[in-house]
Amino acid sequence: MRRAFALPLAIITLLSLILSACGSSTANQPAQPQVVTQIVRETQIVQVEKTVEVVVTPTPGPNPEAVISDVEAGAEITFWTFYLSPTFDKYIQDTIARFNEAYPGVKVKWEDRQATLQEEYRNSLAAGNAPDVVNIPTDWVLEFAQKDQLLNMSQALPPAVQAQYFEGLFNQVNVGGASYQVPWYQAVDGYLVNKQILEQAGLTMDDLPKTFDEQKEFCAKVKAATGIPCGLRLNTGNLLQSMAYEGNVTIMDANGRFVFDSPEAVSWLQYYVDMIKDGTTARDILLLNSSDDRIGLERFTSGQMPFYVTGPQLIRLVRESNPGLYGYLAMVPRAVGRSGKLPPVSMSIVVSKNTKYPRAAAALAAFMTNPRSMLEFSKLVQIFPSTPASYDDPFFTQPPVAIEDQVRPIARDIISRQSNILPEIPRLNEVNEIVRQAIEAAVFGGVPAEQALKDAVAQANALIGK
Amino acid sequence: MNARIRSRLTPYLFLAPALIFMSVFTLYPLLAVGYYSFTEYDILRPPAPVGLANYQRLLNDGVFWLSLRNSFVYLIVTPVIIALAIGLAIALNRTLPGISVFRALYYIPVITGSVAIGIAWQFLFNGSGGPINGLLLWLGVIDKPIVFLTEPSYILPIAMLMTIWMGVGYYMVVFLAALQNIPEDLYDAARIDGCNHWQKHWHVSIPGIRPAIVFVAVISSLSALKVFDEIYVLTNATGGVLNSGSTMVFYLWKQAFRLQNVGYASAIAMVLLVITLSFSILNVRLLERRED
Repeated sequence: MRRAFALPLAIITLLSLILSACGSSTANQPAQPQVVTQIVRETQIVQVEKTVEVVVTPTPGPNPEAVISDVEAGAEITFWTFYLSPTFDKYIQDTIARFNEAYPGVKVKWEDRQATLQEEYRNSLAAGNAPDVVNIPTDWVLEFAQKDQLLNMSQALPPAVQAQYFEGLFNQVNVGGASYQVPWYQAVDGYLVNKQILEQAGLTMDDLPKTFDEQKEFCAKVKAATGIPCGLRLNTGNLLQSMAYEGNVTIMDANGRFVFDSPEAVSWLQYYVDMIKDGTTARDILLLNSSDDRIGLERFTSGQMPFYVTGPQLIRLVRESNPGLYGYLAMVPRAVGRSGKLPPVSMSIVVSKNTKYPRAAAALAAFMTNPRSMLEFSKLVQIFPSTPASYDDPFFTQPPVAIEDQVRPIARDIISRQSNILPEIPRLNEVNEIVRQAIEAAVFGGVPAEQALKDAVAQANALIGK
Repeated sequence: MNARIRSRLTPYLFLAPALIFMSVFTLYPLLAVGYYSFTEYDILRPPAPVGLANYQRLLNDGVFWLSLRNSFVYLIVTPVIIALAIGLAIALNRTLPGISVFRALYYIPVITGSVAIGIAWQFLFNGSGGPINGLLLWLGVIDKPIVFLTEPSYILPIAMLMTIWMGVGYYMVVFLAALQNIPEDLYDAARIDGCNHWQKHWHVSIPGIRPAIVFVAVISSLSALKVFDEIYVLTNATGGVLNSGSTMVFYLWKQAFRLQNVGYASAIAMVLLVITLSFSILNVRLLERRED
């Protein structure tokens, strides 16, 4: 019986030895220290060829993503994001896991906040229990920075880290010559076009406006041909921004006085007064709050606007609500204002000034916004990195397939040109309210544009004591 | 502890939980708002005393006076809602098959969230494709749609209609309960005296529910003075074009939470407190005197 097994066993063993000799020695094995064989030719008198084998074992180097030194040991930091859960839970958790590899010992407690973020963050700052790191829309940064609630990122981050962002984005909120945020993901606002309405109006994609002034003519043509008005919107969170970029209006003079009642400003306001009067743009869309973006988008989705200024990330909502319209959509760059500049449309990450762990918090802010994290995020949703290095990935040079992707190949160029041209505006919220009243008075109340702006400038200067 | 002291302390011990609760959640906030009204305070930085500056500012603030006026205009809601609620209560105060379904239907707006109702009303009055515009166009009353919610003259009336629609069911229940407490004998006596249907209600029902009318008048007028949700939702938190829909509480909110002028908002709150307190006392006194 034993002999009966002995022969097959011997054959199997022999075959195994032959097969293992033929195959790769490293296949299906865990990584081993690399063995490098160098052939060194030494010329000696005796002309003997000698082979020297050198074994090199790489030592683990510093994690290239750990860019902040002396991070507090045992730090526990809280990180709030804005409207990212549950859709991006995995991305955030994976990125935090990578952060933990780069900065072992730092614990991150992540929480997502939604509509009440601004109030909650403000209240937590007042109560002294603010989260260490927070994702907020860039428009909100100025208020917190002016009230000395945020960490100065120009000091907290080494110059090499600051240089990883587009310069215009890192410095987009400048208070006293310093930046108080790091730019996170960017949107590229363009025209989301309903080609059906263009066809009805006898227009083509080439007829879409390239400049602010062409936009007015375009809307008049569409209205005349189809009866459908445009749905232009001002940035109600910062109306002076609309004025500066679209109208090339100087907001403040060298003495810090408001001067937005210039002929350029009057011309800008008259533009909207005329369009509302002519019915070439919808009156209930013009001053929608930024939080009501979807009201405008719904109007567009129901086929009542030739185009809507938005980012490609919202196209999926149009597709979900009106799949029939999806095939008629196109995304192209929006008209450039009289300033020739493009405003940033971005999300920021800020660090609360009173954090117990400023280095760990700055490290997380830098990590979430580093080129790799940004690239991975861009692959999940139509947002764009604030870091030029991310665009070196072939993902950004692939020809677009879906409508949502049409901006991707030109995104780097657009984002690199985005910068803040506004001065540091004191008491922004209150000044913005004064400007809003002036615009409403002119557009809806029949007050001449010149008078409305003159009154607003007087009120704004009185508010800041100038 | 002797029995005398214990018997004196006992009621206070029973009252203590309620007193502590009221002190923390009513008295302290009231005193804090009173203090903040004399300061410049933006939540993020400590309050800085400014004396009477906030109250002086109120005198010259056109939007404050507009909001005050709008709040008083809003009181028109009170008599309308009382009349409608009484009418509905009388109509539903009968034993018919399925009457409880009708009573429940009128109560649905009361238990529906004001934001959901606001969105529905925004849709109703939508300037492009809203049913109200559709109806008016179909009837030939208008020849082009009206963008109701951007017309300064329409915002307040629409908000008032919404308040009436939302509140009438609640007040109807109050009146229905009061009507059901009126003895049937009184109606029989009125019938024997020759009262017709209307006279029966005028001479029996209305006097019989007068305490409920006093209650509803006070409650609904205070609610009208403090209206916020309707304005917030219908105007997308702006107060409407040229502040045309701004009321006292809305303006207070806007100053505190939009513009971070908590000190100034506190001054508005103190003025509102004085107005509502005076109004309540006046309301109760007038209605009590009429009852006497």
